[in-house]
Amino acid sequence: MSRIKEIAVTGGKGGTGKSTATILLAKKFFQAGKKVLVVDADVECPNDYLLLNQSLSTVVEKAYAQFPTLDKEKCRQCGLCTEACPNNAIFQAPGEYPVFNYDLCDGCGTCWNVCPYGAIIPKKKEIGKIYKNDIKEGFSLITGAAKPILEETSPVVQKAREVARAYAQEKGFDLILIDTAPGTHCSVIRALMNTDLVYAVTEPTPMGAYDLDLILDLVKKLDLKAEVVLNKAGVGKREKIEKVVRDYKLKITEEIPYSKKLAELYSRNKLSEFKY
Amino acid sequence: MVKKIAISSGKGGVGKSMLTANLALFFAQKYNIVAVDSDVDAPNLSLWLGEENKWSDKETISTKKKPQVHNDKCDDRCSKCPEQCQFKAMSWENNELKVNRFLCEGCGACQYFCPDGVIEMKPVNNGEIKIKTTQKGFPLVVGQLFPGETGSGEVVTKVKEKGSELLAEEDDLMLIDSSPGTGCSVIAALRDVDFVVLITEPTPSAYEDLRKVLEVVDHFNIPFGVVINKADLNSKLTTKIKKDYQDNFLGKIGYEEKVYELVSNFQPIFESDLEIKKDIKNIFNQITNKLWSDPKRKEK
Amino acid sequence: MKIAIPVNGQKKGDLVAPHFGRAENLMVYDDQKKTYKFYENPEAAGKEKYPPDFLHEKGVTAVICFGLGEKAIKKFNNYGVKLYHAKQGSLHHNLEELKKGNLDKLYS
Repeated sequence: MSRIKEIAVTGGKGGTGKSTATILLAKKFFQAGKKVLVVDADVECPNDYLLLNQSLSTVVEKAYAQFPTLDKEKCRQCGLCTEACPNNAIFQAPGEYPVFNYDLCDGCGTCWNVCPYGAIIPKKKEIGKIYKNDIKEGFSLITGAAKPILEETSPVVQKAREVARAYAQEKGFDLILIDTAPGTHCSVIRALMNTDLVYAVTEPTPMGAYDLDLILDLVKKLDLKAEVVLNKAGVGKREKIEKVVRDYKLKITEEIPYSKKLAELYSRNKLSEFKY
Repeated sequence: MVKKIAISSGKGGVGKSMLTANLALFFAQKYNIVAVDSDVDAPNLSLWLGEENKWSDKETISTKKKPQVHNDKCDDRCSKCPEQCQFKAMSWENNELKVNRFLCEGCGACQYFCPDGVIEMKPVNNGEIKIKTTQKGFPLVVGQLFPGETGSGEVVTKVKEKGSELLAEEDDLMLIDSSPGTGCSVIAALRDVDFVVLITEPTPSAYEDLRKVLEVVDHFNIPFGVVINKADLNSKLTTKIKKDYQDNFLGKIGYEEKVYELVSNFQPIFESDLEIKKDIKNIFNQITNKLWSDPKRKEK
Repeated sequence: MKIAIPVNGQKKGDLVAPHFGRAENLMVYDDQKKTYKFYENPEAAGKEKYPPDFLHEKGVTAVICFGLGEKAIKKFNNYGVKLYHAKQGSLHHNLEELKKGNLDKLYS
């Protein structure tokens, strides 16, 4: 069975229009007759459901990670776990049992691996939910939403993509469009890995150019194909953007012209009314 | 006592760096400040300040270690490494244990899986800190995570530490530009600050993301204020946000397309005669009133 | 009991091959004599013998691997061969895990 094409939409800089571009591109492909599945992999702040006038109500899966719990009967208060924790997430007062600070814990498992007495037991805890919205026949949305105050959110991105792949196979979607978070950190990397194409969305400002360089550097390191989408085209200066695009031997393949109308429609969640 | 303010938003692109830069310029007129860019994935603060890309000090930092595999020490080729790695970054290929450096979080748990010492943790350079003195005379500290590396939260912590090192006895304020989202780099940026300025825009996405970042702010019990940027974009929603956060409302900033032109010419709003400069000044006044019961009136 | 595992190599420390059909060799372990025997994979070598039949003739009653095609599953089931899901790692390690009862059944 051939793998379904996966395209990521990213940007590095926040606010360049990743989600807007994802929705407009999804519409374009859908109107051309393709069955499109959008995945919102911006799991800390998912927005695509808002732009598509949906609500998050149907949970199809939950994402879990393992977190340490203490078996006091086995614990000898040796202090090894406290010392070994790479996030300083374990606190141990003298003569007391170690205490886990779950705000700082990313579930790496160093503590339960280093404990010589098997006193730390990993327990599965929910770290996020995956929602599904069937918007039209052949147009659906999968949203990953991480719980707040989480140190490590990439497992939720991972889960959202797995759910999307399975759903796409099941329903025969032609294409998966992945909306990533801004930045270049681990959850963005998880959203970009193993995709067939990356659209890097940027804007014609010095900040846009600076951050485009960073995201294209990451995409290159990940050995992925990329194309550049220039949003808000028409304002600012595009020379710096064009230089970055040239330096990476890439092309600007889409331009979304700047328009106050689009900005206003976006602010009312009426992107579907925009003629693009 | 030095105060620390972070500027955060949840949603990207609503104007954190724009506001941090221009607030810094207002503060610098009467106060001694240090500006810190802790949006280490994509630091833009210097651009909004109209600063050139010239630095007096650049320091490569290493806050992470990554595993080095000594395959010759591995007798058993057991499944512990691929199974125990909580980030699924290890796999067996061609009779060798391979670590996917993009999935590896550098936690070091793997050095404890194996009693034969197959894994050794070695420090990696995962970012850099750049320092300069701005045209207006205050220090600017910028953190940059190298794309593809892990440990953004730790790089943020290091950048803030550097900022603190630069604070002198007579300094009043450290301004911290944070990254979008609510994850580890935002948490690190907000830790130990005295006040958070939350900037948003009148769109449903930004409004929702503001709620999310507020969960983090509330969790750490930090006093906060709300600013609405691009307020004219949707006056109805602006009114609603102002009402929802009336006890913490600092002010609104209008929407002016001319900003793109200014910014493309490296000109801070502070140095223009746009209407929104007045908006930012009002917010600056509100913040100084909240921070100090007797804000500085005299010129420095 | 004789256990078969697909492998690209000829040592007990070599890894279980990810694809049964494309593995260079089929290793047959005799748990009485504690011996490892390596045979060229009849499927990969393009030979005429079909692996389930080949292994059945060798007296194999259990197979450890990562996956199988439907035809092969049917054949193995008909021969009463037990199928186990391999773990990432060496032949030796997987045999140890089988002994400890740590391997899940494949396609049960």
